[in-house]
Amino acid sequence: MFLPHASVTEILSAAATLNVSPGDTLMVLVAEHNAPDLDELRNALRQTIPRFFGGIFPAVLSGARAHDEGAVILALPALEPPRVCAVSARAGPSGADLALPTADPCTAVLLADGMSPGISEFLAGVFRQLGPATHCVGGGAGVSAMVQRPCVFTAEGVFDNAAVMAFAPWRCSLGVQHGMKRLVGPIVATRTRQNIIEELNWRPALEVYKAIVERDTGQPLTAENFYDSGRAWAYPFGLVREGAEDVVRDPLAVVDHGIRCAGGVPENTALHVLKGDADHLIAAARRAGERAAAGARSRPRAALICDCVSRRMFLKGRFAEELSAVSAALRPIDHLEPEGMLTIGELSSSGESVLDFYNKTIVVGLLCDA
Amino acid sequence: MPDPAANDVVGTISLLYELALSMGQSLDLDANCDLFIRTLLTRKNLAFGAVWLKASALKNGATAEADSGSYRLVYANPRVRAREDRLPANHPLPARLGNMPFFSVAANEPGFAEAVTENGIQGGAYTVYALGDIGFLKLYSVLRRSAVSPVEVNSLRQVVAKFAVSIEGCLAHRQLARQIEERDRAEGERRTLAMVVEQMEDCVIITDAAGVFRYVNPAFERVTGYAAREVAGLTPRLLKSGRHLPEFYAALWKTVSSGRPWRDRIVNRLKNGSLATFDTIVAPARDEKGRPAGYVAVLRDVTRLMEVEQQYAHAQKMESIGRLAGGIAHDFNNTLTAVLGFGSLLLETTPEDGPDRHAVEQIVLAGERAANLTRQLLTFSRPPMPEMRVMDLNALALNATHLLRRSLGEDVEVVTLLDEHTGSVRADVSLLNQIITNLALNARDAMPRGGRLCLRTAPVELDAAFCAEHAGLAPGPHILLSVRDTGTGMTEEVRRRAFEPFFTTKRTGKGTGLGLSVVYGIVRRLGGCVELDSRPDAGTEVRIWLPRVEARGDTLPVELEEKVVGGRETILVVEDEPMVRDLATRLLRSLGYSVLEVGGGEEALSLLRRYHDRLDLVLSDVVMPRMDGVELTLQLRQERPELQVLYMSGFADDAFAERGLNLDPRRLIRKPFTKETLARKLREILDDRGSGANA
Repeated sequence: MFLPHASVTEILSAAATLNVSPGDTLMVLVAEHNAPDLDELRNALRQTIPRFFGGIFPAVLSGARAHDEGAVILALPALEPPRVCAVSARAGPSGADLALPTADPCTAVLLADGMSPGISEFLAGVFRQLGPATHCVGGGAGVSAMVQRPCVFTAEGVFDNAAVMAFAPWRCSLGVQHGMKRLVGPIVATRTRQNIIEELNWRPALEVYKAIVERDTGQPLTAENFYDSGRAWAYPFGLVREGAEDVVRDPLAVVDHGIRCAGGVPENTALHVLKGDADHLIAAARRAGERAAAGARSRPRAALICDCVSRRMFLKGRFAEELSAVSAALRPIDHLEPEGMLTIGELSSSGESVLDFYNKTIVVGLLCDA
Repeated sequence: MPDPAANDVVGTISLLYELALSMGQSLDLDANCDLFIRTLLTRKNLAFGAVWLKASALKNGATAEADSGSYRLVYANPRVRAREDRLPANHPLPARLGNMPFFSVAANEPGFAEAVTENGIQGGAYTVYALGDIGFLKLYSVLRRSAVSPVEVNSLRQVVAKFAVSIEGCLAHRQLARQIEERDRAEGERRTLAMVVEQMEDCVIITDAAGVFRYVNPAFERVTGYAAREVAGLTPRLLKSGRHLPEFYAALWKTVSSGRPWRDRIVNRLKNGSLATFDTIVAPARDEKGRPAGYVAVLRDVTRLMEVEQQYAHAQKMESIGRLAGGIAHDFNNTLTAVLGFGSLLLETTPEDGPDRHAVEQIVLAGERAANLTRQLLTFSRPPMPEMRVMDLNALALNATHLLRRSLGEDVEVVTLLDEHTGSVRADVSLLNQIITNLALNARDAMPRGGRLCLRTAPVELDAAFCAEHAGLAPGPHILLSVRDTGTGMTEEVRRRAFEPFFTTKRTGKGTGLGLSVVYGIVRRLGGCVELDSRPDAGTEVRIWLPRVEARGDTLPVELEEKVVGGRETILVVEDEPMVRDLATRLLRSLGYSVLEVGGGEEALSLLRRYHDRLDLVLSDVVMPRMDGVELTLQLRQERPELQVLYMSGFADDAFAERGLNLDPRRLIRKPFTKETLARKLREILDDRGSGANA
């Protein structure tokens, strides 16, 4: 349910109309503009709803529109109360020791601090434990200014460097696409530190990347205009994954002579510098919707879209076309109105492959009856 | 136009580069596998990866599982997918790898079903690599519809071989870590053992095979007085006391030389020359190869324990002697009552210048001496029921020494060191006086050429440890009363027997041998403890601990002598012993009383009915056949509730308690009694009738 105004009162009264049973979990996605204080919202929700989780995002999505203000709420049947897990800023798997439920069917809706450096390692640990049977869908929470702040919440609190998870006894059909194409590569990330690429091909990462982007654009790329000019997120990195699209890492900022990305980059991994165009991206979004629709084997209850905030920046005025394309792809199925959020990175286990953290990607999840 | 084949090669090389560098980053087996297989799963878009190792490669030592050649799952990602965690040696997977180092098999091909050891496998293809000869790597892709091409499988062969080497490194590291852990554990145990030995209260000696000291623990140093450096190069012969025959030591060596432990109690001489007794175990020690390496001895100092045991045995012995003495004294008392009584009567009627006067006087004198002896014997065995009062011990001690000064003689200097905080005890004044008197007179006798007698008092707080070593004491506040002289002292043998009744070192006629026995009996009766320290020519100190009470005590205990006064009342004498009955009758009559006499309880009751109102008092024996004195009193009082009773007895107070008789000491006269004592007791009771006091 989309709410045009995300005041605490409106969220509470809207939640009341959903008749959330004690065994259900309420998901609350809040757009950053005019957002309520998350702690105040949490305290208010605790008075009436025992189980809830959510996060703040650059925008929320409803049908074919992105809303910078407002909220989306959704009631999910729950296997257990929502979990809060620390996403360690240190290197190494941090989610491997979680005692996570393994029901069949099971879908995990996962909202994580999109600016947390350890998120890729965390997801690797979660996947090792959950395996492919539990489909995961979700995205990175945060604000469009790309500054880290407490952004996910449950009844227990509002957190940064954390992930909140709800487990529903539903099946999930996923479509995951980005539509970017390889421009240069392979290049080896010869030295990385979690989400910072320090060297590419044994040279300072910025030097290599700058040369590639400047050669393609003919415009200078500096530390100062790195993000704002839009050139960096127009030329993301793609981590090689055999038989699938590359996993995108958006460059966010220059750190010394390295490049900080939205998500971890394994050291010594091969990557490409990618380039996209609006048509390809919109086509990819349509494919994501189609794949999700095609995979649905039972009655869909909700369509959740996690669309990367950098896609809107890239597509600008044509972003609505992307959402329309997804809506159109899903429309044959029970006329579902997709809802979701613009995310700082997307989370999906895309069928049988590993759970990973994506950038500049659209994830469409059809949540279906068991 | 880029060459696609060249691009593929570059892509493969970059993958191999990443894989090669992902391994060996950790010596932990799981972390090493995790980094490598996660990279494989991510880059190759695989659904599952696992590492199986031979149990023999994982083993710490020989086990049945290791010997069987079976395999164990050591890593799986995702973990939840793993269905089996053990495979037999003859499982088709390793069997197939015996023929080729790697293979790929798709779901639609023969051999696929046999390869499935995971959950949820539908379609796809496995690729399996041998990890050298220690196990295999198993990968699963759900996206593949056919087996992975040999070229593609082959492209990973070398990097997987390197992965196998990295696993061997992890296993070696784990083995080493276990060895270090085991060594640390053993070191820890050794440290703990050493700590125990260093801190234990028992002495520990370790010698080499020749019996030369190699180690002694701090307890040894503390107990024997020898420092470890002093005994270096010496043998335990250093401790020989000379108290054991050569055969004793020969038996020790014979036992331990035959490989058996030797246990016995042994007396050793300490560095300060004193002797101490040890419960000792000597056992042969062997080195790691079982060869004789020396001897280990553990010695527990039981010297103090033995002293306590001896104290206990002594107390038991004194108790037995006391019972015997008490029993004899009773019979003597009856006889002496008659001797003294009749002797006194005879003396009254014998003219002072008569020929028999001297003989009668000697009879009475001998009787009194015998009565005194019997009384002391009874005091030792069962001191009389004391008339307990709270007494200021310092005041009493001062009073007693003042009275004793003349008896002690001018050549004995009396020193009193009385702590002003000493406080009070609950005791019978006469008994305390008797303690001080007996000790002071003993001290005097031990100083024939004069000397110094020091009487000291002090408050002390006794703890449980002290009380455990001093029978009869309970922890808490006490008063120490010490009487010390500078006399001739005692040998150890004399000291041990000093409290025994009739044991004396004095010349015949100079001592009864009951002085210290009486002190012993009284102190025990008062809940205290007495201890005696003495060495020849070094004087003697007797220390007495008595329970301290908080109340302020009387300061001047004085006994007043009274004149003999008779009466005109009628008294019924009940006594089964005719001699005593006769004596009592005569004495009472000589005092002016009217007397009726009977030999037992029934007769007394019958007489009462006849002389109902004429009787004023019944003088009754306590222990009589058929009906004792107390039972008689109960029945008499049914007829005459106000009738007064005075008991006479030759038994000690405890004997009444044993018979369930509870007697008021004020209504008891002890045999043998004198005319004066009998007269005074009678008047006390008869004159007190008006106050309503009753027994």
